[in-house]
Amino acid sequence: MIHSFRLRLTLFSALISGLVLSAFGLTTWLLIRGSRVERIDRDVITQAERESQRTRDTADWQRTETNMASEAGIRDKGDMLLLVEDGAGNVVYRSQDWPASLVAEQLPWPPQPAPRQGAEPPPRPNPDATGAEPPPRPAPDRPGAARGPRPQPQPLRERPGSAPPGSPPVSRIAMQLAGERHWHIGLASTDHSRVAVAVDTASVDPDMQGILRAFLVALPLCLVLIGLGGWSFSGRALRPLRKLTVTARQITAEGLDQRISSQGEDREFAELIVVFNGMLERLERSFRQARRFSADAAHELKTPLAILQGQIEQAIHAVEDGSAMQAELTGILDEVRRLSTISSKLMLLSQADAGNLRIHAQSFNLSKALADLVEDTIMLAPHLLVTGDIQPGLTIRADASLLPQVLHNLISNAIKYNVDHGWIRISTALRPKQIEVLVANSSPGIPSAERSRIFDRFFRADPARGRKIEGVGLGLSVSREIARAHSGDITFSVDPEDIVRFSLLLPV
Amino acid sequence: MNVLLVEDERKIAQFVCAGLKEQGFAVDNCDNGTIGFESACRGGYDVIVIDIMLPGRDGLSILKGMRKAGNTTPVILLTARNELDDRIEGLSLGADDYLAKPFFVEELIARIHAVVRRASGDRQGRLAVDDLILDRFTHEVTWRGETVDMTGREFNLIEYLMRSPGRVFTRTQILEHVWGYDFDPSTNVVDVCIQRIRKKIATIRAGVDGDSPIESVRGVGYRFRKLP
Repeated sequence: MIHSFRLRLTLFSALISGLVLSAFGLTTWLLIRGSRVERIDRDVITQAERESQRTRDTADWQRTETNMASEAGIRDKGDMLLLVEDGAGNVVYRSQDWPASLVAEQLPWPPQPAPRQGAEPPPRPNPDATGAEPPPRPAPDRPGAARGPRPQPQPLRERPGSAPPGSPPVSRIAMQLAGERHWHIGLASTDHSRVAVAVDTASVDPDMQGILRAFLVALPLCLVLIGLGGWSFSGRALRPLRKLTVTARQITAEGLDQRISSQGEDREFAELIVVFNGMLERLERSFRQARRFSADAAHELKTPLAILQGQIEQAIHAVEDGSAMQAELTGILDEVRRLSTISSKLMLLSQADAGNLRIHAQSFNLSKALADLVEDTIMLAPHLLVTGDIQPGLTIRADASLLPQVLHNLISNAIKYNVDHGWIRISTALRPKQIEVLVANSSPGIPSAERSRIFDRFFRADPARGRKIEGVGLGLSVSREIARAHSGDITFSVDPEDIVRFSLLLPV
Repeated sequence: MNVLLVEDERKIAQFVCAGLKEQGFAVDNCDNGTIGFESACRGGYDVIVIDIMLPGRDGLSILKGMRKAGNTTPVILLTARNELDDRIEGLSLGADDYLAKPFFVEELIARIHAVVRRASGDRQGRLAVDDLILDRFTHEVTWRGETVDMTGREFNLIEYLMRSPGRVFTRTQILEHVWGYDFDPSTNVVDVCIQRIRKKIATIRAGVDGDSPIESVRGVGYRFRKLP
């Protein structure tokens, strides 16, 4: 899925807004259409009622029809039809487009009011129609849609009972389907005529389509704006998070003294930043304490160790050679040496941790050092087959007191973790811009669980067959730090035949 | 040989002085950097051993001042503080050698001999004890004119022992001097190396009466036989 919170937020807000706007737009559209259709109903009733009280000739009716259409705001003439019959049911006027399927007799005419005895000729109650001709209906400046509601409009109206002569006609609305067209028909009956005004509800469609088009243009525009707004706003909102990320990255690169400014951030984020800074503060303090502790401890140990070692040395030379006392003092001296070794390794590691393990690079004859190493290995492990394949004349820039520690550590591991009648092979290889010193040896196998831990401090692999293994488990981690301080590295691998390979890479 | 020791730690100064005097050095000790600097500048010393952490003027500052004043007396620095950085700084300031605390006085003596030899341009470099002759420049070992083929480690070991015939050296002292880095004290590399040297000498002096010139001291270490 999408793994950017910002993108998700933006898309989500745009989606929700789109849905809401669409639903809202659809409802509005339906409401508008409904009210339009409702107004058509009102119009057709009113017009049917009005026209049913008139008598005209055919040409007059034709004009009336045109006027009616423009009055109702209907553009297409074919969408509004007129049918006029006299009291006897004879067609007085019928629109040209009147569909054949709309049979006049089948329309649900309201019952004709019975003509009243002695009735006068139909009066003209409608002041609009006092003239002989219907008043002109200037449609262009009076669009039908702008007209206010008329009094007493009912979708379905029937006034049963006798209508007084000239009194309002009886009317009703009917809906008929003719072909594909859906007609709303206003039917009005008076004692002397029946008028049907039919309007196709599709006549509102052009307007409705206009609204729909406007909406379809506005919606994507709106969504784009919302999306952009959401994107930039979420970007602003996530800025403190980015700062945290940048700071956390700098901590790795530059140390724990990084802090983030909470100035100008929103309250919620300011709080997070304050908490984060507080955490860094505590972390830095305890880290610094831990680091200083090992450096201080190692340093504080140096002077007493130096005194102890010096005095024991003096005592060894003072007592009689070969005496039991001298042997005992020598044993003590060995332990003091062991202590100093540990303390100087700890000091070296704490310097490496603090990132200031500096080396004193000078010309270093690697070939000679490795030849010595092979010699040492042969002396240290006469029970093992030791081979060396060292290219002559390898000279690098290295620290003459630190690098030999690494070399020695590698072979001392190869001796310690070996098998009876095993072998050790020390070789060199030229790599692009690097020299590789490879120490390979047979081994009783290293459990895979221990392989990832061999560079850990104070870690010692389980010795094979319960042999006692000397050392404190700092050698490899110290070696790797020294290699890295030389811009090199140490890697380790075990192949399926339990051959262990340590590879020391050093820049040329 | 005159040595100036600038070291404020009284107990350390004590055993260093004792050790050096035992080897025939004349040692002046001072426990303050400022006085130490004045003494160093007065001259008359073959080598100056300076602790880096000192009251008054620190060791690096003394060294710097000396070199600035054109004083080229060999200097060996003793360091306990942040040792690697001091070592780098000390060497770049013109120290001839350095020794990290804790150290063996025997090792200090060996270093003093080495820097003095380097400084005086001693072209001889010959060491002869009991018919055995070492040439420090060619690394050649001869016994009554016959060459004994020795590896680098073997040469360094026998040279260390021969410098003080009759003086016993513990395995750790030998390890530190010959191998130079932190071997496990329990390693037997010294014994193996001694055995190889003995074998080589024995081969060359076959038929000659007497024991090997390298004597074992049980539970302690080895010494080069001193002729009565």
